[in-house]
Amino acid sequence: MADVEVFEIDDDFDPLEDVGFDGDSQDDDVRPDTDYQIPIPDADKSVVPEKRELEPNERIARLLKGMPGQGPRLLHAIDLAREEVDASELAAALDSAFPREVGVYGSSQVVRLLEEAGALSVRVERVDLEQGESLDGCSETNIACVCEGEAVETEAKDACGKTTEQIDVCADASCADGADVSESGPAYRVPAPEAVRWYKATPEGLAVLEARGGMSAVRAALLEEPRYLALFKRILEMTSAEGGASMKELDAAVNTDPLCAEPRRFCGYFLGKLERLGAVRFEGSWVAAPLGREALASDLFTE
Amino acid sequence: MTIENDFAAVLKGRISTYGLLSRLFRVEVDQELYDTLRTMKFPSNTGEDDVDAGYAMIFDYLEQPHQDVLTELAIDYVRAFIGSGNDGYSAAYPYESVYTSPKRLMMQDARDEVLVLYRAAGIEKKDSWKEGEDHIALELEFEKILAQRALDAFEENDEERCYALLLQQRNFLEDHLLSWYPMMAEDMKKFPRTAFYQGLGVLTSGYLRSDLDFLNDVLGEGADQEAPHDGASEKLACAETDCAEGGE
Repeated sequence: MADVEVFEIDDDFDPLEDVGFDGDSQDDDVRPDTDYQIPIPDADKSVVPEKRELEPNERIARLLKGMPGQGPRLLHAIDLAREEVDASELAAALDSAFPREVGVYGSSQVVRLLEEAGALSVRVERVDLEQGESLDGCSETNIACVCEGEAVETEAKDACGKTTEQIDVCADASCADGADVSESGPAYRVPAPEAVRWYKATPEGLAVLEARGGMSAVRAALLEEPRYLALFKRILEMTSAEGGASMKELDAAVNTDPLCAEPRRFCGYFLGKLERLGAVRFEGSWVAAPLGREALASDLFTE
Repeated sequence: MTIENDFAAVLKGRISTYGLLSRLFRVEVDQELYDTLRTMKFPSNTGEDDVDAGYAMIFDYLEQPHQDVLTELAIDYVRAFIGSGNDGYSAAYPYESVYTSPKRLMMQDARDEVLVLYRAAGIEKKDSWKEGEDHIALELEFEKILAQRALDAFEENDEERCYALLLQQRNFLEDHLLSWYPMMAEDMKKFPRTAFYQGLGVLTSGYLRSDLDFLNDVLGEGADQEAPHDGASEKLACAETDCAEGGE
């Protein structure tokens, strides 16, 4: 109470008087336009780098780094596409090479990712599956069209000498713009035959494959830790045996080795490295991949 | 071709179109449907801009080379109709209740209303259907069933019943499908990324409008909203001429 008696309370004080804000205004939501902006501290030091389109080799490296567990599969897909191969064959070959793949990426997605990264180039070709002839260039739009009630029912030949069944998949002269062919009444369009995608490894993709996918990559990676060569060899020998080796067997063979004592290492460390290099893979049990067998047969472990 | 044949052909076309739209909304595209779509004839000048645009978008999508197209479409189906959020604004939810209830909830009044109509028409959903009955696939299929019944009645020369069924279709179209689908159509411009499902949104929008025009033409602008009366046959017969000329 004493405080109240000491201080004088100014009931007329308006803290917003200086900024000209009228709380009773009906236009509370309407703020006056002003050029004033709160200064941003050190704005001149905040420079957003210009967006740079990545080169294919950078994109490929980023893809491999982002999917470390899929490295061998990605590289194998590039290897399969050394010669031009159609998409379905490529996906089937990849499925066959990695039959127990449990990743969320199907073979088609793997191929698509490599295409986007620039490791594979694609050529799209439309093929008349029944005739076996390419229809590229048949029309600009490749839009097939038929005249209502005519093309599908008659066997008359068009100006190109093709039967109406062929007209179904190839815009002929009467379908000038590949679309409406009938002045009165609706016209119809039928999708052209499904396109075939042909994939071929790009020079950038092959360069990455050579750098990361071959024996040289295995050799370089294993020689980074030469003291563990004996353990790598032991794992490769066990996994090369008929039926491969189970994790339990590998653990028993590696974890108790004196080489693993200091620093403490476990079998998973070595196995993981070999897996990332594509030297072993899991197919119900751990088995040596062709690259692993090649490494075992080389002079890598006898040097 | 006689006027009667034309009218029957139009009714058959409506059955097919409603069946196709219903199927596309119901579940993801499978191999069988995809193969069918790839051999389907897509109309390109129906006279209804949205129908043409919708067909063109779907056609263009099918024309493009795709790898693993079924997976791509399945992903987009989820993106379009299921979404990943729980705020009620993360997808084009295909339920009338969502668009007609204040809090965008499923299983609201709209579902009860259509359920009554289905039962009045002697239709029960299959046990395998676990979603709400106001799903757009079911509403479209309901229209298809009514159209099939109308065709059957027409072929049996039961014009009064045919008129009643067409009237029922128009009322359902006005009271239900067209009262909420335009809002879903707006969402279908936002959520799907493939031209296939974006085209489906546009196509459905245009088709429902054009079908309403067709039914209005057949029934007459001022047709009674209630049961058909004595003049039903005359009205139906009178409207057939327009229908035959307009076509679908």
